Amino acid sequence: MTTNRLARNALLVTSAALMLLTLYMVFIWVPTEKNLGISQRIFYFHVAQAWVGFFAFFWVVVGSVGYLWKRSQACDRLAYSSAEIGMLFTTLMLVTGVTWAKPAWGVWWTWDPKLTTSLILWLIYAAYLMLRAYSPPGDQGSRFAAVLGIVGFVDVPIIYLSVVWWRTVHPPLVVGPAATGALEPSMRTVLMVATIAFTFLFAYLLLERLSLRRSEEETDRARVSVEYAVPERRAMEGT
Amino acid sequence: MNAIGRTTGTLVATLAALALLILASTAVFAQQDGADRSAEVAAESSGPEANLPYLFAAYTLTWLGFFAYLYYVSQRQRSLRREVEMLREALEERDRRERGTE
Repeated sequence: MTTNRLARNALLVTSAALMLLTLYMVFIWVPTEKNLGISQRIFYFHVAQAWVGFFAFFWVVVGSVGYLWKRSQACDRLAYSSAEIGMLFTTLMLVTGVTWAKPAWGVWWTWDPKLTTSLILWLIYAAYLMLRAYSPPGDQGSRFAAVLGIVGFVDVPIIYLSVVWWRTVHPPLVVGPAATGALEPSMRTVLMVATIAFTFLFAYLLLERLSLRRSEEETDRARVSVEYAVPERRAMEGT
Repeated sequence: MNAIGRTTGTLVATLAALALLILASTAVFAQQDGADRSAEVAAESSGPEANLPYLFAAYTLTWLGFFAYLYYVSQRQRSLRREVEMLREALEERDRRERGTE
């Protein structure tokens, strides 16, 4: 078994164990919030998914900067794979947000600054993946996407600080450097465990996707060599 | 466009369709709710197990999302393995033909 496969298996087992612990803590251990009731338990997954989505897009920036600087295929692969997983987590964050908004605010969606900027982030990285999918072969698509990946990340601090800058229905920040709201200690513990569990899951998914991306590139190269190698050789022999 | 592009395009289109579906249903439900929204919220908030369906939906959709993504990755791996096998056969066939003509 390769080191890569071992690392992936270790991450899978760790994230599965942490996820079981998170579910136990969310549904059994932590007390129910008295104002929002049982639906507040969505919070632990919703915030953790948001964090991992932002974290994934941070790796898109790292990969994109690396690609623009060194033209490294490994950096490009990291940016692409991370963007795809970031999209998955951001989609789930929006879905859980919508599901929680209904019992908490009485509406499924409202054009609140935090919700709107989150949707914009989702659209930016959907555009990123579209650009990667439909750009012509060669490094042009990777370069354009790298710029979009870097510029798009500007939205992340805006989402985080939107509750400070604008009037919003979202509760005040309870984690991070600009936190002003208080969170009950047991709830904070569950949120931390959930965030760690989702971060491990992200690491596992990223390694899987990177490996798949490598295989896709190798298959593309093999396909090109099969399609063009023999005719080219014949053409050279003919001249 | 290559297979990677097509697959990624399909994935993004599926995610976009999912998001649009959610937003559309949101708009429809929001309209249906109308003026008695606050009364409904008050009714939903009462009782220890009120809003349980929302909690169930949020966690179910999360797991469905993860399993759908893992399924997509595994299907993609399978299709790549098939493609590698076909390419190997194509190369062997060409080699055989070339040896036959020499």
